[in-house]
Amino acid sequence: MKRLFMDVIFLLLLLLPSSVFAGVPLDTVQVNVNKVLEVLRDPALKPVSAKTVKKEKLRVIYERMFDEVELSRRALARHWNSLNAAQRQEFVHLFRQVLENAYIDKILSYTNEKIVFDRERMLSANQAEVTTRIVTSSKTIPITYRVIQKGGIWKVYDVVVENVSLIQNYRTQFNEILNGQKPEQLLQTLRKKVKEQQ
Amino acid sequence: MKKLRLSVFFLLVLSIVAGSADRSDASIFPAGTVAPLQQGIAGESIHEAPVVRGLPEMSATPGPMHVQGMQICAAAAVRTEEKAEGDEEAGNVSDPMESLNAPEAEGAEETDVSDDLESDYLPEEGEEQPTVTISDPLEPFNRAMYHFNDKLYFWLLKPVGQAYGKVVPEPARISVRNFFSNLAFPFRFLSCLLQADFRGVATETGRFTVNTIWGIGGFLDASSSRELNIPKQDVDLGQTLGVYGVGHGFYFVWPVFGPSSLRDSADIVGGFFLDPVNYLNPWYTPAAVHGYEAVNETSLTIGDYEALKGAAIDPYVSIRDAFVQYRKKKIDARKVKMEHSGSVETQKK
Repeated sequence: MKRLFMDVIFLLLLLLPSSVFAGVPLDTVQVNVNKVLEVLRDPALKPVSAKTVKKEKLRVIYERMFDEVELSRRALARHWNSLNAAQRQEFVHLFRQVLENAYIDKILSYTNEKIVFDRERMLSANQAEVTTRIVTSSKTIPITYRVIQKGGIWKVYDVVVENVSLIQNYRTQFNEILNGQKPEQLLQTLRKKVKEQQ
Repeated sequence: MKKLRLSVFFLLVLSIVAGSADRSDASIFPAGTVAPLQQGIAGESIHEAPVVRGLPEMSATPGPMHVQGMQICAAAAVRTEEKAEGDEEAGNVSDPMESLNAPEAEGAEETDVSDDLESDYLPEEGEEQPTVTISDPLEPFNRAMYHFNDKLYFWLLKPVGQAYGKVVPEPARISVRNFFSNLAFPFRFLSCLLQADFRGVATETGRFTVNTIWGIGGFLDASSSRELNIPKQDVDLGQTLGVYGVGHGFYFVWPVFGPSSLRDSADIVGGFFLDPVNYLNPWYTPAAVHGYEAVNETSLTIGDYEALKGAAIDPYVSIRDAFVQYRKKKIDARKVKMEHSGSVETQKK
């Protein structure tokens, strides 16, 4: 009987790597991040004049990497349901611009920091968490990507930087606004924000 | 007996095949049953410790643990096999959750945005618990303090930090940071002690000794080098109270010190006694030293605050939420660590 247990345990150990290090979500994130790095490192795009080209290329990768609608839906949470289709579409568009304007300079200022892909963890049947680290000379920044699988593709719907979830942070802010105001007013605030950023 | 063994083997092979054939291996398991357990077994660095929480008896009685854990694994393997067969028969039925979220997505390479837009938000179980909030009865005062600190940063700290950063090379600034971090040893020592984390106490004492002697008074973080690898304990006094179940109380923005709460102010108050710098004479020296420390730190993190502020719709709310999230994770990480090390110790006995 004891022998049997040993066998089973041994077999379970064999089983482990296939499920723990399965890596489809991790691979997807890694492939996309590497594509971003490729654009950032491209010597042909080094001059300042190539900034728009760079941005355009990054935008394409962003679309493939992120699930914009899921991102927006989760950021608004229950308030999402009170937006009509047109408002939703505009919200997704504006939210994306806010994010892009806020983070593009930070991304473009990349200078050979090392990115380490640590592990993935399944959150549910179709959601996972990919843990990464950006290692710079002065610090290490933990970044976790939450990904969701739709139609066989894993896409990012939340980024957790230094233990702070982006979506949850925006959710608190949107919640604060929408608790006293109409969706239209939120859109107005976002339009203003986008204008300010440019 | 032998037949049973063979059948178990066969079962496992099947589950492996089913596992690798599936799009994502863990998804064949019912969420939350086996996947965390496996991670618990494999997890060197995974401290979520679902094992400990899910099966509390395990840590106390090492003997039955294997049996129990195995029964669950075996049961899951059976379920896996059933599910795999079911999938084959039904021709790749997608998960109910998936079909809820993206009814049209199946087969389509790119998710059709306009269709996806129509699906409503449904809070799901696997998701993070509802937004953690903090009461903010002093919001007008806090907002005023936020603006004060904001101006302090943009008008004073940032320009001075930038100028300083141009003169002093980065490695030197990192050394200065290490020096101040080493000086904050009493905080970490006391926090570990109060959390009854004696391993942490020993680690911190060792670090302080090594860094002070071999790290030339703390300018080099020799303990964190690859050879020694003694990591700094991520502890403070507010967190210690949090580990013991004390809540935030309410949000409070200190002038100069920044976001805090009633509970986390323990660090600011404790700092007057624990920070060796405060015992320096004459009376203005501590302020000067802390000012220098702030400038040094700013010079290493220029751009972080700007990014946070630039991305926010309401920076005050954004920072408050970031503070709450950050503190919560820090306390949770500690709780998990304590549970984890506690269970390891009981198992050893």
